[in-house]
Amino acid sequence: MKAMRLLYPSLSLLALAVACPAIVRGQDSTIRSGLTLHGYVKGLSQTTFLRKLREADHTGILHARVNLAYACGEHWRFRLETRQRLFAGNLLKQPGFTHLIAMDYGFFRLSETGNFQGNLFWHGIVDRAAVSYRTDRLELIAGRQRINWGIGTVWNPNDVFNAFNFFDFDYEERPGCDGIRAIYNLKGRGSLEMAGSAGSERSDRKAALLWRSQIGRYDIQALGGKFDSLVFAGAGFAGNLGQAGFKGEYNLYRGNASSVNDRYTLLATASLDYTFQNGWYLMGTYLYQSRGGKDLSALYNLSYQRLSPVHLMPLKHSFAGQLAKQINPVLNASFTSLYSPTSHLSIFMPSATCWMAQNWELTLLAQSLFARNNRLYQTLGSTVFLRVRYSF
Amino acid sequence: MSKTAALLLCCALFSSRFFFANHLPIQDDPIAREIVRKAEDKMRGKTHQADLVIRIVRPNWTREMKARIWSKGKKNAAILITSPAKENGIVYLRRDKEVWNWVPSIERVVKLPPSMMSQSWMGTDFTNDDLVKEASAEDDYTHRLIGEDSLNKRFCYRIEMKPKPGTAIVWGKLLVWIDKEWYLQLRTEFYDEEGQLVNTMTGSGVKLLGGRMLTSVMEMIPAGKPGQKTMLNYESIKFDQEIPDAFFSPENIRNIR
Repeated sequence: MKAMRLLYPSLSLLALAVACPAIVRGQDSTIRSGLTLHGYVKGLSQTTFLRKLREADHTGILHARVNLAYACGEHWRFRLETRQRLFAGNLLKQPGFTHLIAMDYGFFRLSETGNFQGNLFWHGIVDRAAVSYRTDRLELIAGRQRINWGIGTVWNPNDVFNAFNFFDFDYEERPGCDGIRAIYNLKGRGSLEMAGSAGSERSDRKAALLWRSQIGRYDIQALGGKFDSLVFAGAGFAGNLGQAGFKGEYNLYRGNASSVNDRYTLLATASLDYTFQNGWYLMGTYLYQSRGGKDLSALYNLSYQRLSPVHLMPLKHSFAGQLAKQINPVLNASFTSLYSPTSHLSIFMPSATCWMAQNWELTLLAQSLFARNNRLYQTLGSTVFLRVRYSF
Repeated sequence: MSKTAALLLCCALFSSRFFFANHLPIQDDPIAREIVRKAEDKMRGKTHQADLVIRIVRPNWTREMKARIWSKGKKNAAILITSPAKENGIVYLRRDKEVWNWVPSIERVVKLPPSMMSQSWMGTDFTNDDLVKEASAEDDYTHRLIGEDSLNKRFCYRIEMKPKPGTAIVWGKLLVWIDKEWYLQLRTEFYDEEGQLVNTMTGSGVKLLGGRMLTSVMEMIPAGKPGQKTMLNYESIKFDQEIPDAFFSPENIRNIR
């Protein structure tokens, strides 16, 4: 156990020891042959209010990420990526918030926290620490990694190892899972993948097989495996309907896990997206979740929750739409909206991202939740985020 | 002549003209075609791998990106963004008529819908289609040598190219200036179907790259937008290196670097 406790500080120190001198020297991303460094520092201001802005809660988050990769010859590659966050503000006073952030679901405990008299809270995690070996047809990856099997842009039932939380926009990399993965590229088009992972809880044990191929102009995939005491089978596709993109995924779970009362659970999603000649991008998608309920309390802290692939949304039917446009090469704007007929839940997420200078970026984003309660349509709260990002 | 007869005659003349315009063999000047073929072969090779700097120039600011490009024949191409830091590792891959995008931050392959192909590529004056286009200057157009010119003190052939029926090319016609000595494409004007100039692409900075005399700087200048252009500055090119077909597969996209 002592050795386990030393894992996080050892890996973090290694990352810092390589990254800091290179950052201070303002070195290029290639530190030396085969060794590359990337990452970012972000400052996020978060203002949450129910109805009146003057009663708002303010939280600031300083966030640094260091990504190191080392390619040793043609076959071997090592990855080490760390994430450090420093929280200050009202969010720390919410019951359970720091506990939620501090949760480490990995098989190896690769995170640490520090609480400074309730005013500052620090969380550090190594979310990638993997070694891979690759030949022409076969690739083996072991360690903390992201196994991303999703196809769609909002909901991904096929993404069983690292379920993607669309609301957690500030963590696009997602936590890694501790596992092993073998990818075998078939002759012509297609591949076979086998993956297994384990975590701190029994429900984190997963093993699955994925087959990818192409039929006509459609990329297709089929998967099956075991997730805790559930067995599952699923499929996904990505192709075109005329000029529009058409994607879909479904997963069917069978079994009696503690968290699943029904014998079967189905998650299915389909999406269409189209870009108009004038540059406007329009996307519409639908998610069906057979076990979805009506409990809106599950939406609490949606941005910071770890999602289970069996519960991508708390509600049975969910629709999402996105309208986006690159106004000019330095300004992107989008408006995303989610709607569920259950309780008439509506979530609105307008955002704008502006390139300020080489490697500097400013993002303004809001999330507003509304729902019908006792026949009254009322706000469940809004959060406005302002984020500055420096990438290196 | 009665009005009806006149109308019928007009219809007959119009329809015969229309008919013949669409069914007469398309005139393709073999000399012009050969010039275009030489220019295209020179830039493309059997395979090529290039490092380039992309500069987006606007009246009030300039943005710079770096990229590495691979291509094999007319059907396979890949582009890896190497700078700026945030976009580092993004890959665009074309195989036949399909395009995929690798997003390293979320470690996912996204298949691009056809409607996205005519959109600006990463904010530049090139479209997604321009960067990974399959259209062949030799095979997909008819060619006509319409004159000779001097451009930047170099003697050039001036060739008009019109897309062949059935090809998915959005242009009405192209006017191309090709250097007589080195077969370099020094200027191309892109016209829409109404004959309006849309873009002008120029080639300059002639130097030895990958063992061939080539234009090292290309500029895409949109018409009617003063102070706006995108520059491609080739830093190095390697021709005819062995690249396996599997390199250009969606399965390999995350290993392109």
